[in-house]
Amino acid sequence: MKKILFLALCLLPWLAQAQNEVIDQFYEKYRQDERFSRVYISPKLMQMAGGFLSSNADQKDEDAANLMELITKVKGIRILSAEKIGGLALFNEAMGDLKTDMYEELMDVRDKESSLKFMVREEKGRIKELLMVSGSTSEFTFMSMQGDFTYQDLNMLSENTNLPGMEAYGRAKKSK
Amino acid sequence: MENKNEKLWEKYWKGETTLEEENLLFSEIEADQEEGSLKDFYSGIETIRLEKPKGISLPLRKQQYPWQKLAAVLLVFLTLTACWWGYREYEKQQQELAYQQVVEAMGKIQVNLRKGTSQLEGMEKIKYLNTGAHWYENNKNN
Repeated sequence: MKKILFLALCLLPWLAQAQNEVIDQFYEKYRQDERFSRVYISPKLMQMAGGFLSSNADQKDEDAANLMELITKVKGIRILSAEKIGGLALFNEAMGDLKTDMYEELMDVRDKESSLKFMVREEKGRIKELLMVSGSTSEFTFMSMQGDFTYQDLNMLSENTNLPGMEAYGRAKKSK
Repeated sequence: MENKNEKLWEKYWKGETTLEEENLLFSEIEADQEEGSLKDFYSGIETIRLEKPKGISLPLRKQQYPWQKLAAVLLVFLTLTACWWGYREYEKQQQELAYQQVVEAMGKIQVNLRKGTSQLEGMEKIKYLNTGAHWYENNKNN
């Protein structure tokens, strides 16, 4: 039993690495495809965004402080998205490629025309990666947010619609 | 002797005599009482030799006006300030762009997270209803 546990512990980093490779491969697979838009927010860019927020937001603004806290916890974000595309097939492809046992399912919303899945990779009770895959008949989004954050941070992000800049994002989204 | 002097003078005019030979030639001219062109030449050289060199006065550098220096310093200062300000503006723009991208990413997460939680909010209302009839009544009133 001890041997099996030891073996499992030894294989754990390798499995995590393999999982990252799957994400990388998926990301790389469609990186050259012009129908997809790709965004990689590096740790440096996260730092710059934090710098912008701290120099522009009001000191007493609690929402800005919350967002700032989350930004400092996020190490990088990768987004692969496409519009006017059969997103459901891509969703299924992504799900097939991912070794879902490495991730804990956080949310799964499905209806006739769309599928959405949130998954998290946890280490010692803290979220190391949040994975979001959504596909519909016309859209597809694959997002991976890496860092070291908590469920409270995600809750804050979900519930707080007054985060600085989010309103503008919402307006842009509606006008599309 | 004369023959020898003639040869020495020839050497002298060619500029090939040594200092000793020149001294010899000039001492002979000095000793010679007769006036002549060589005597004049020698006295001319002596005059030049004895003349004390006057101090060479180099043309003085034009004194720059203080306002020119001040303008130069100001120009350097303004250039540096403009460079620094430009870099800061560029950095601000980059930061803003980065922030926009981060907000867009967070916005996507938020919108999609809310897709799930909004459905849960609907469920939340149901748990306060006691019976199916209560629920039906509630819906009828709404």
